[in-house]
Amino acid sequence: MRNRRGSMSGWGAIAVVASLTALSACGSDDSDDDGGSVGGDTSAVVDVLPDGVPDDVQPDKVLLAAVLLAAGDVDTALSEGLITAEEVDRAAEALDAGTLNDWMDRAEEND
Amino acid sequence: MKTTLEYHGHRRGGVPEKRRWGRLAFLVAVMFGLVFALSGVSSALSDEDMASDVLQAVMADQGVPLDDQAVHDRVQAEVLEAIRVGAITWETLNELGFRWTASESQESAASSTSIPASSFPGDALRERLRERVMEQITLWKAIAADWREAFEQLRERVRECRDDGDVECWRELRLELQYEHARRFQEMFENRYQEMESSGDVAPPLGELERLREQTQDRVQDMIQNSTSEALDQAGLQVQDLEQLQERLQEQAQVHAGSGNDQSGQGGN
Repeated sequence: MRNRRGSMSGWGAIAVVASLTALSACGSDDSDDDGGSVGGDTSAVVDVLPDGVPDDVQPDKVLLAAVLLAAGDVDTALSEGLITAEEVDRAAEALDAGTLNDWMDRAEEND
Repeated sequence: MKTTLEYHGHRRGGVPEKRRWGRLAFLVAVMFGLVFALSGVSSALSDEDMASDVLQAVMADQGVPLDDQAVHDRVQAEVLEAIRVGAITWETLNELGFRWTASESQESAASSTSIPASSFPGDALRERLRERVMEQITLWKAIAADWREAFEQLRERVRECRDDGDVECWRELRLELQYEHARRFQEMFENRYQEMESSGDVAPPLGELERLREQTQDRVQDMIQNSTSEALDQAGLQVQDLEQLQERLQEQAQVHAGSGNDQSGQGGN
């Protein structure tokens, strides 16, 4: 009986350790998603907005990318360095989801 | 007869002849005036007007208010820059129907005298904008990976150039960015056509991809012709790299022109 209880508490400890490991792994996955594309340096983690948008994605540029997707040529704008691929990604997502207003809010916060 | 009499009744010492010339001169003046005024409208519609109209139309269509003057001015300046580099053109705006919003009935006159909306996009323009957004998002999905990789390669330097707002920095980076992208695009384009040939499926933005191939080819040609050896050195490039890339892009044009595709745009060389 003692042995059985002992083995059960052993399994419990393993389960707790496994859960903690899994949780920490989830946490690191999130940070990788946010900052992984920046190159994995420590500044990348700092340079990420709370909602996971890297700070080199500029709200004004996302609005510009939206205008270009509607009435221009993103390829030319990209080649001239006016916008980045990530900003076009964000604009395309926002146009698709009807959430461009969020980027306008962000742009206003930058005033 | 009455008219003649009245006409003769008004004739005094050769005045009608003068009046006729006067009327003719007046008509000519009016016509010149109209032409001048219309051309004036066209030239008065500056790139700034164009930037303002495009921005307002797209934001209004998306239900995004442009209340903040500072943001409005900043983004309008960005749009203006996009016009200057050719990322937004009168041609595209005319195709979208920006000219109709002032007067839906001015179709024939509009080819020379665009009258973009100064107030709001109409239903027709909204519809075209939305159609184009869908098309461009589809196209973007096809080319996004190449651009992402090109930017990723240069990410830190892109960030630095932006932070510094240094034009010279951009000038150097632009060459590398365009080369990195052109190289990846050429590979993607080739793979995509091979996949299509083997599967028999035709990807939806095929015509647009062909247009981008031409555009990329033009860009590489521009790099070859206009880059100094110093600029190429700074970008870590050699003319041979560019020429080889250009050759491959040209070969693709010939292969696809001869493959029986019903795509236009085979004369980009």
